[in-house]
Order: sequence, then structure tokens, then C-alpha cells
Amino acid sequence: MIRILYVDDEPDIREVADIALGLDPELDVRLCASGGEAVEVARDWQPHLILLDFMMPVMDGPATLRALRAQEETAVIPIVFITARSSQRDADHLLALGAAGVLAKPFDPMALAAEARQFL
Amino acid sequence: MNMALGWRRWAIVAAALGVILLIAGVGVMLAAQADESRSLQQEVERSHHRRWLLQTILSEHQDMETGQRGYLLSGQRAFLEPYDEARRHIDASLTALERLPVTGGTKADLTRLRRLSAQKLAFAARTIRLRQAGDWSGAVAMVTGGEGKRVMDRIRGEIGRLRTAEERRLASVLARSNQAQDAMRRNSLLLLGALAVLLGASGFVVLQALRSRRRAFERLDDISRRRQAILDSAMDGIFILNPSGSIEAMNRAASRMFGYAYQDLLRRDVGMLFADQPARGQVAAQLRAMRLVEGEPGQMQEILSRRSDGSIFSCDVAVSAVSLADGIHYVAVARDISERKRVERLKAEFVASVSHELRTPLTSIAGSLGLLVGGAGGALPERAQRLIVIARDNADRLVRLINDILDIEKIDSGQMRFVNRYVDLSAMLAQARDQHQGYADKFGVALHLEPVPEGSFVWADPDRLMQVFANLISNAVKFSPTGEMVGIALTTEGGHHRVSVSDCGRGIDAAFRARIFERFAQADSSDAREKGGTGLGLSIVKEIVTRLGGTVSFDSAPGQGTTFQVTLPAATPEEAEGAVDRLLICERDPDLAAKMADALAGTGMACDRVHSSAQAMKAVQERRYRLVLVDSNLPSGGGIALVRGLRQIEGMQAVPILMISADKKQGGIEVEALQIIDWLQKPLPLDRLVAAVRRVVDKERRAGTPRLLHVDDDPDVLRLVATALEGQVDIVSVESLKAARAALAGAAFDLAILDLGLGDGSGLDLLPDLRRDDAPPVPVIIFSAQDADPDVARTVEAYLTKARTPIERLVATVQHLWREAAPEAQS
Repeated sequence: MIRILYVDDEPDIREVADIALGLDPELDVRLCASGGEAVEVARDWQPHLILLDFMMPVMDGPATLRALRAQEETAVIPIVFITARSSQRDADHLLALGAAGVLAKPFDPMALAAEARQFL
Repeated sequence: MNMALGWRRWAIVAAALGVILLIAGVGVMLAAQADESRSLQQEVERSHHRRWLLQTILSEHQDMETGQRGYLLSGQRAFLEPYDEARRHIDASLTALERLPVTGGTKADLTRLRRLSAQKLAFAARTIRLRQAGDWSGAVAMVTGGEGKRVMDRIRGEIGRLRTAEERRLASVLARSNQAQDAMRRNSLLLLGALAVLLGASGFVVLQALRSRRRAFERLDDISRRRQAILDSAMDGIFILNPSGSIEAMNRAASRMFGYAYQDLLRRDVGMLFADQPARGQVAAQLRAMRLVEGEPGQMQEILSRRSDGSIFSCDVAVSAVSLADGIHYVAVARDISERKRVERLKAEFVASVSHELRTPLTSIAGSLGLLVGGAGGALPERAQRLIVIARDNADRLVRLINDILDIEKIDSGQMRFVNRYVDLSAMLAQARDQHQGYADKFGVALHLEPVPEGSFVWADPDRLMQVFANLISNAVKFSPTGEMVGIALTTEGGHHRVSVSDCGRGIDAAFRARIFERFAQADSSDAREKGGTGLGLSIVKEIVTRLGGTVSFDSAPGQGTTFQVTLPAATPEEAEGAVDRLLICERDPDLAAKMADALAGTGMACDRVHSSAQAMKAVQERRYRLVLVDSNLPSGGGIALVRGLRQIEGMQAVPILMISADKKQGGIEVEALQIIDWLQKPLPLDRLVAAVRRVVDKERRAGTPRLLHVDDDPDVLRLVATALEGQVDIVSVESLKAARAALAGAAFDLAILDLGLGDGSGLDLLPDLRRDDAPPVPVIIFSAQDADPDVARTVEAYLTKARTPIERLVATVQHLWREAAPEAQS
């Protein structure tokens, strides 16, 4: 099974993403509602890929990425941002921060799993 | 006012002429009077002389007679002395009298007088001779004879008459002179009177002129105060600069805007108001170089300005020229745009955040609906399915609208970035057709792409260009009746490629044509609902095509359809050939290879397709490829054998290779050594293939930009440095040694900025990781709060102390080290 951690503060989007990723039977999905929670869960659960919302309260996507990179156990896990900010500039900035990729919101739920897998 | 000035001027000129003439007249008269009185005086003198001579002649005759008689009586010779003397004098006096200018009638009188005088003298001489001869009685008889007395009486009478005549003449001369003097006095008075009148009149005119001049000055003052009031009430700062760039005048807004008192700016060089404080006269030189023409609207430019307190702000400045007596002056109108900039930034932030806020719920809505339509919630009753499809389509439409609005906002704020490269239109149009096939099927419309010659290159951003074609094709499909066809064609003519998209729809109304490229333009209000458009598509198309240096136009006939044409400058195949990125697809199945090539057109890469190992080996020796896709299931030896062969070829050792495999990824040391970047599983979703290729290519492209690792435990410093180096380097910012090591394990870096005092050690601990034997050493900049330790400073490329180093110096150091490290990467 491929472990994917999905981090988003919006419960509705978490649920949609859960179902969408669940369409791929090879994916094992866990959901986190905040960056802080994600840092802890990722350390213990060791996901193969983290899908990370960009805009979150308290600890936003880039801050979460830094925290994950700073933590030895999670320093090399590929991280893909999911963002409603679609500008090329934003995307370039995220890639420069060390993200493996950027996916745009709203995502196509039927293709989300395939899109996520390409970053593995 | 001009006319009034005109007649006054003439009046003053006429008065001046009159005065001159009058004075000349008076002069002439005075001269005449002087002449007159001189001749009168001469006349009087002559008259006196004449009368004196007459008197003298008479006296001399009497003296002569007295001498004669004395001698006759006494016989003494003593009496003959006065007699002789008188005789001598008489002649002289008569001659003198005759010599005087003759006046009418006296000539005959003088002749007569001389004759009488001669008679008298002859008579006296006779008597004297008789007496001398001793004939005393004869002499007495002669005397008593009375002849002498008679002659003497006649002489006396003649002289008396002459004198009377002379006196009369003198009197008449004096009377005439008096008359002339009277006339002259009269004339002088007349002239003086005229002069007085003239002077009075000119005085009046001059007074009038002075008064009207005062009034003109008052009016001028009024006008200038009115102008100043207008200037002072203007919101924009207005300066008048003289030819040498000094401030000659300004309005209140100008001194307010820059925070100076009026007097502090007057006569100062305008350069003092610029943020970069140019040298004196430099601004004037620039103004001259602009060669402004009077009467033409000012040129607007944005200028960073400095207030008196040193604060910097942005100004829009329009400069125009005005030609004055002392050279070309400049009128500079400055508008403080810092507020506008702030509002623009707020607007951009607002639009970005609105789009985010809208997209967040839309993600849930569109996601849920998409899952339902896709069957993730199980089979739905047919009616529910229909409703859900409607909901999903409209959620998609809302997403498109938001995307279009964001594009428009990007265009307006100049933030739409174009990453241009050589793009082959033939591949791109094929991809556009394929992408819209499903959409066209929904409308029952056929898409027909006419055969396009390969190698029709343009210099463009493939994503933006695809956006243009997508808009035009989806429009054409929307407006085509069911069963009709949309045609896509490419023609090349005169150095331009022209892509046309034609439909057989109802055409464009004449009334709508003029505003078809305007925003939210739709033919009528029912259209948006019917066709599901946003009304922004064509406006975006026009902006993009214009930015790409092309034009967009259309032909339309009512009821016969519309053809949109996009014309772009053609890139020659030669220049494109060298610059375009090529990709080799080595796939056994030609159909799949063609599909892959079409799908990959959007990456801007040119795809070559081969179907066997032998063809692939031949292809890589003829052309250079950025990337090779290999089918694992190739005939004769399979994909791995091909990759092994490719890695033997000179120049192919480092080219990324992607394996497409129906099986699981193969392992083993030997396969690892072939450096296959990625294994893609068949059946292959084409979008996954595109994403994988893009990832590889982007990673390669970014290789031109240095990757920099920044280690510092202060997040603010990390953010500051990241901001300062934005766009110049790909920066990875970490706060600990541990994170730094993780980052170094994951990727190679070209530069490192290290802090010394970190939470889990010193940045210097990373030096062994940055200077490994198996990789080129990474240049290191120490950026620390601690002062430089000479021993440490020797071991690194640069040592900068935080508090003492402006951020610009850090940026310059990074640029310098990168230039030194990789000169060829800068080209």
C-alpha cells in the first residue's frame, strides 16, 4: 500500500479528497486538519507522499514544509502543494522551497489519485 | 487693447513731429528776426553816418567860407589854413557820401550837391586868388555880389533836404521794422500757443497711455493671480523649470508633496527631488535629450522621488516644453502615485484572496459533484444523474470564470508571465484538436484539422498559445449547429503563420463586431446562459496574441459562419531547430507513439517517433535530444538493452531517459547504473506522461538558475534573504543542521549561505558535506552575527557580518560567486 497524507483545514475538502484518493485501491490515505498535526503524524506514520494545502491558519503550507524538512524522520518525504493560488509565480516559489510539485484547486476528483501517484 | 495702443502710439508720434516742426518754425522766425534787426541796425547806422556826413559837409563849407572871408578881410595867411583844410575834407566827405549805398533819388541829389560844392569852392577860390593878386575890392565885390551866398544857401538847402529825406527814410525803415516785429511777435505767440496746445495734447495722450498701462498691469496681475489660484488649487504638483533645470516656480501642491517651503525650492536644481539625487544639471541634460516639442502633450514617466524628510515615494511626472524669451522652459506635473500603488496592490491581493476564497468551497462542490458523476457514490437514478451533471457543468463554468477573471487581472497588472520557446504549431494544433474532441462530440460537431506541414515554428509560450486555440475552438464548437464541422487550418505567408478556426454558425452581427474583443462582450444576454461562456475569452485571446507579437482578426457573414485568424511571426526552421527541445519517443506501437507525441506538444518540445532500437540508435546520432522515452517491450532485446546501448553513445550518458513499461519497475545494480529517471506504468494515462516529462524538463531548465541552501535559525533572516534573492536563485531555507543535511541529501546545491550559531551546532559543521570528494565544492558564504574569525574566514569564500552588511552586499556576493563558479551557465 502507498501511504498518502492529505493536509487541509477545510473538512469538506478533506472528505472529498479522501473519497477521490480512495478510488485508487492501492492508496492508503490519512487526513490531517493542520500543519502541526501533519508534522506529528508524518513522523510516526512515514507516508510516501504528503499533499499539503497552501493556505492554512496558524501554520501555513510553507511553514509546515519547513517543519517537515527540519525533522529528520520527514526531511526527504516528497511534498506536493495543493493551492487555489494559481499564479506561475506562486508555483515557482513553492518549487523553490523544495516542493515536489504543485496541484491546482479545484482539483479533478476522478484524476486526483493518478496525479498524486506521479510524484511518487 | 491693441487698437487703442495703436492710435495712442500714432498720436504720440504725430505730437512729437508737431513739436519738432513748431520748434523749427520758431527757430526759423527767430533767425529771420535777428537778420532783420541786424539789417535795420546797419540801416540806422548808415543813416546816421549819412546825416553826419551831410552835417560835416555843411560845416566844412561853412569853415571854408569863414576861412575865405577871414582871409579876404584880413589878408592874413593864417585864415587860408582852415580854408585849405576844409577844401580837402569836403572832397573826402563827398566821396565818402557817394560811396555809401545809394537809396532812391539821392544819386541825383548828390550830383547836384557836388556841383554846388564845386561852384562854391570855385567861387571861393576865385575870390582868394583875387585877394592874393591884391584885388581886395574885386574880391569884396564878388562876395557882395551875392553869388557865394546864393550857392551857399543852395548848398545848405540841398543838405537840409537831403537830411530831411534821410530822416524820413529812417523813420519809414523804423516803422517797417516795427511792423515786422509786431508780425513776428504775433506769429511767435501763435506758434507758442500751438506748441502749448500740442504739448498739452501729448501730455494728455501720455497720461492716457500711462493710465491704460496701469490698467493693463492690473489686469495682468489679476490674470496671474487667477492662474496662481488655479495652480494652487490643483492636486498635482506643478513645477516650472528653467533651461538649466532650476525650479523657477511651483504651486502649493508641489511644495506640500515634497515637504519643502516655497523658498527652499526656488532656484534650486530639480535633481534634489529625485530619490537617486542626480548631479546638478543632469536632469536638465536628460530633459534636453528628450527633445520635447512645444504644444505636444507631455511625456509621462514614473520617477522615484524624495521628500525633505528623506522618505521615498513614487511619482508620475509629465513634462512638456514651453518656449520663452530666455530659452526652453519645462512644465513638470507630478502626481503622487504611492496611494494608487497601494490601492493596486490591495486590489491584486483582494482578487487573489477572493479567488482563493471562492475556490475553496468550489473545490468541495466540484469535487463532490465530480465524484458523484464519476460513480464514486454508486449508481444514481437517471433523473438524479442528469441533475448532478448540470450541477457539475455549472461548477466547472464557475471555475472557468474565476480563472478568466484572474487572467484578466494578471493582464491588467502586467503580471502575466510569458515563458517563450520555439513551438511547433503543427503539433500544438493536433493537441488542441484532440483536447476538444470530447467537447465537440457533446455538441455533435466534427473537428477537422487540415494537414499541416511540420516545422511551422513560432516563438511563444506554449501554455498561453494553447489557451488561445482552446478559446477559439471551444467558441467555434459552441456556435456551430449540430452536425456541422469546425475547421482548423494553418497557412504560411510572408514570414507569418496564420491559424484559422472556422465554424458554420450564424455569423456575427454587424452591431456586435466592433466590441467582440471587449470584456464581458456577448452577442446578446441569452448567449451566456445558452452557451456557458464567460464573455472574457476573446478579450484574453486578443491580449495574449498581442503580447506574442501577433494579431487576431475575423471574417464573418451572417448565416454563413465565422473564421477567426491568429497571425504570428514565423520562426525559421533553422533557428527553431537549434533552440527547440527535442524528445525521442521509442515506442513499438505507432498509434500509441502518435498519441504520446500529440499529448506532449503542449510542453513545447518537438517529438520524433521511432519504433525499434535500431531506429532509436540511429536517431540519437543524428540529433540531440533533451529526453528519451523508451518502451520496455521493444523487439530484439527490449528497452533495457536499448538504454544500455544509448548510454554507450558519446553525449548520451547524461540525457534523462524515461521507461514506459507494462511490468513493474525492474531492479538490480545493473539497471540502477543506467540512470533511468522514471518508470511509467502502462496503460499509460497521457496526462501523467505529460506531467512526468514536464517535471524532468523543468528540473533541467532550472539548472540554469543556481540552487542555494540557506541555513539560519532566525526565520526572519531566512525570509529576508529569500525575498532579496527572489528570481535570481532557487533558494532552500532551513533552520537547523539536521534539515540542511536532509536537503543536501535530496539535491545538489551551487551555493550555500551558513549561519554559525545554530540550535544544533555551527554552520561550519556542514563544510565536509559541502566539500565532498565526489562532487565539485560548493562555495560558502558565512552570514553570521559573530565577527569574522580570520581562521574561519580563510576556509570559506566570503564572510559577512549580519549587522554590518547591507542585504544588497549579500546579493552582490552571491552573484559574484555564482559568476565565478559557473561562467558558462550565465549565458
